[in-house]
Amino acid sequence: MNRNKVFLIFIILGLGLLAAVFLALITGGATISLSMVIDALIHPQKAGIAHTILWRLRIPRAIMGITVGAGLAGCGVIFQAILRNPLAEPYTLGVSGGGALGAAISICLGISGFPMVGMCFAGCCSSMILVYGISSIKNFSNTVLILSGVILSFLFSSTVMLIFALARTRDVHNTIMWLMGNLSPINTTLINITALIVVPLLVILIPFGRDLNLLSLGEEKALHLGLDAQKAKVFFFIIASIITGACVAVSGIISFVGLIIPHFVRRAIGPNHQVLLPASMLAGAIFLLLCDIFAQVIIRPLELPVGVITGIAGALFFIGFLINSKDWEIM
Amino acid sequence: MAILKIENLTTGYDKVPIIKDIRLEVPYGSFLGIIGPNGAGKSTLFKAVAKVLPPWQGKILYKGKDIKFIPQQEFAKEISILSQFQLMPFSFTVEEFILMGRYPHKSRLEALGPNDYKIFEDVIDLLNISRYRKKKVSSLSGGEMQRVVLAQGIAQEPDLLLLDEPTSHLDIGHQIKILDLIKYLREDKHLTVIVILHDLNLASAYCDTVVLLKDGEIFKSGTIHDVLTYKNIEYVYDTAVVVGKDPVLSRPHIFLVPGDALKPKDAA
Amino acid sequence: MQILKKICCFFILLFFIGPYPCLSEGILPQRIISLAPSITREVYALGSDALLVGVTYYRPKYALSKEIVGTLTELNIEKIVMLKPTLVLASKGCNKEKDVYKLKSLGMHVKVFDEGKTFEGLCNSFIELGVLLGKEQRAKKLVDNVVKQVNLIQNSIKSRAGKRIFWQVSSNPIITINNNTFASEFIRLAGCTNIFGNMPNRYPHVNIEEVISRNPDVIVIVADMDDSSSSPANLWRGFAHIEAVKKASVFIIHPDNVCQPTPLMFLEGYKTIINLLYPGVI
Repeated sequence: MNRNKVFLIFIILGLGLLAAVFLALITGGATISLSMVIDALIHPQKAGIAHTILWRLRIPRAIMGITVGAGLAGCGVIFQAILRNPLAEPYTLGVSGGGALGAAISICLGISGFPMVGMCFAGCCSSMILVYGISSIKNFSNTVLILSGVILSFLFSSTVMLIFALARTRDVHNTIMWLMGNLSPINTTLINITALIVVPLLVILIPFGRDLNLLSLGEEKALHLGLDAQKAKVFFFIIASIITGACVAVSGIISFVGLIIPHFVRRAIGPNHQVLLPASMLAGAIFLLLCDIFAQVIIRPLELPVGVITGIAGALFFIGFLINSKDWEIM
Repeated sequence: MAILKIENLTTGYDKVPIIKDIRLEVPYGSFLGIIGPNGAGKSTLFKAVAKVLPPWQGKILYKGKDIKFIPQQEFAKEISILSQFQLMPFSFTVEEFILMGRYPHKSRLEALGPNDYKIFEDVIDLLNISRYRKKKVSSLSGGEMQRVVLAQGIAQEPDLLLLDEPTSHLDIGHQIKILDLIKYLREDKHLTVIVILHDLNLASAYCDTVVLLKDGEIFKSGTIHDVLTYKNIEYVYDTAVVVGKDPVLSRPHIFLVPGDALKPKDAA
Repeated sequence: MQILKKICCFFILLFFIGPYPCLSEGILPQRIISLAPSITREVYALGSDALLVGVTYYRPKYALSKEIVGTLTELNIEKIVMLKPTLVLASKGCNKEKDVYKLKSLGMHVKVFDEGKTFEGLCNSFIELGVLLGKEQRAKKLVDNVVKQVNLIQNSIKSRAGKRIFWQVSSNPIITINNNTFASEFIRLAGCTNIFGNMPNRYPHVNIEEVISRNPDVIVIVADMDDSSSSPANLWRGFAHIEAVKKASVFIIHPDNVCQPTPLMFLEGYKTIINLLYPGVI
């Protein structure tokens, strides 16, 4: 991949992101004319209903879409590389299960807002710590990492089911709605905090693309090419888990973004993680923004959970992709 | 002075020692073969030298320095290690793959420069693989793949080349081509080569010195003429062989003898 | 062999035991199990609590001493069988159809009440229960009293009616109700309109932008907490364009106040809402 081509890819993705953001700002649950949106955009100090909707709702929502989309897609790339498994995704190692448990507990205890997000994030971190603890005994081998993640997911989902069996019906319903994932800009401060955690972490990860290249060749080869593979793996695992945890805590479980975006981008530009990682982040942000717009307008004034849209759209695209590709391209 | 010196090395897995009290000196520029039956500890010794397995006792000195204290990236600048190739989950192109051999020479934020690309071009010319530089690694044949892996190792610009069975799964034509290439590279780049070989005749044809391992210990080491005798081989491999002379190279050549050929023929 | 025969006999015997004591016309039930908290309340209100032998886990405080037969979602069918009820009271909205079917197939007399979607339906179900328990007069009297009070309040607020209400049952995601729900009866009887009343599904997931542009006069949030730091009302703070926010008419109601479909609880909930919407009327 030569420099010009890389440059072109990022120009296209950058313009795509700008277009998606623009689309997200001019469409939404309510219909506001383009001129009103632009007026509100140019005059942030003015008051008015269009102004409120733009600055209090659409901009935070777009920030959240970018953060969560980029975060999940970036973590998908990382987990696929360090586990050397094209089926890995941000939720493979049980992070979402921990988040769901945290959410279920807080909903049943009547906790909401910041403390609930905190509980949820704590759940994500606890699953990360458990996976870390179990696999550290076995030198973080991929098999042990994946198995402990899968088993913890089962443990957490069973615990959530246990809570469901004992909880009030309305709590169960609320938890299920939360689990579906959505980007409603409930709390602007929360969105800003999440963005301030996730975006810098993502930026920090970008220069580590070459370490991902090496890890994807296998730990031993990575070691032979000068990378302390185990340390690198643990580093990626922790950073990616924190990012995933933050995304899950703030937006629920949005499926498929972390699985399909890395695949599509890899197919388009190849597996070189120095390009793949940032390109996937951008593509993930674009994809989630578009899905969210769709979720808001398709049965307006009702809204669909965006996780449902990403799941359906992702699965359909993916089936077509599998049918139309040669064996070696899938990998 | 030796480029590699192994002093009283003992190591293994899960508290079971596999290799015991290995002492070995590898002079600069040598072409050393490691041979021995399955389970003799060839791969364990290889992994210990490659810094994958830490020593339990003893130490390994590279250019007089304990490898334990050489940072991983510095180590990779000096030594190329080509272990048996694992399947990759993602398909890098040949070009991307070989250029990864330049990573040890760069810090994380440093992009590859014109010098790296020049080394890359030289290597693919040398190994005659420029025609498939844009192909996916996973679409290559076994022989092409082995060349590409070797090219990556050469792009590392090492002083020492460690190879674990570079000829496995190759037909005889490719076996000879790849070993010829290694031999040529050793002279061209002034490398020291340590190679695990299964095929004793290939070891005999290419190596100057060999180490014969048995049950985790060095049974015999020295020149091929000293080590590759029928006594040594029959004892270590527990099988009957005839050792003759290679008509072209005048090196030892091992003829295998099937088990039933030794039985006295029945009159019936 | 002997043991096997014994086991077979045991199962054959089991098969012939039962059917359970059935309820025939004119005979009043002796042992009642209630499978929904609202029905439990109603049985107490009718003074028939002595007959009640089993209730579900989430129950009013005064029913704490009763045997528990599971939660709404996970009934303990064996326990119910053990308690040998002559009448099982279930709710169409709360209990699983599967469970009701199972209980019926075990030969039990199960009465399923429609989930009360209107005040009138609620009162009718209550009277129906009264008839079943032989307390028809008491039930009618109670209902008459509740209806009278509701009418009285309705008359006194007539001049001030007509507010537009956004009724929020969940804040993340934002979920409201349409006119086809129990809670919408409060809105109707308070002389107000639900801004999402005509949505097709009963609990629609609506877009926050749409709430803002529909501009409700009052926002009612159903939530079971009110500590200020994480109050769900914070969501609306700062949306000064909304009439409800402008007039400080964002209220939080405890779900127990508005989610228990019994006539008496309805009256309680109704009064709470009237107090919030029209302070000083009652």
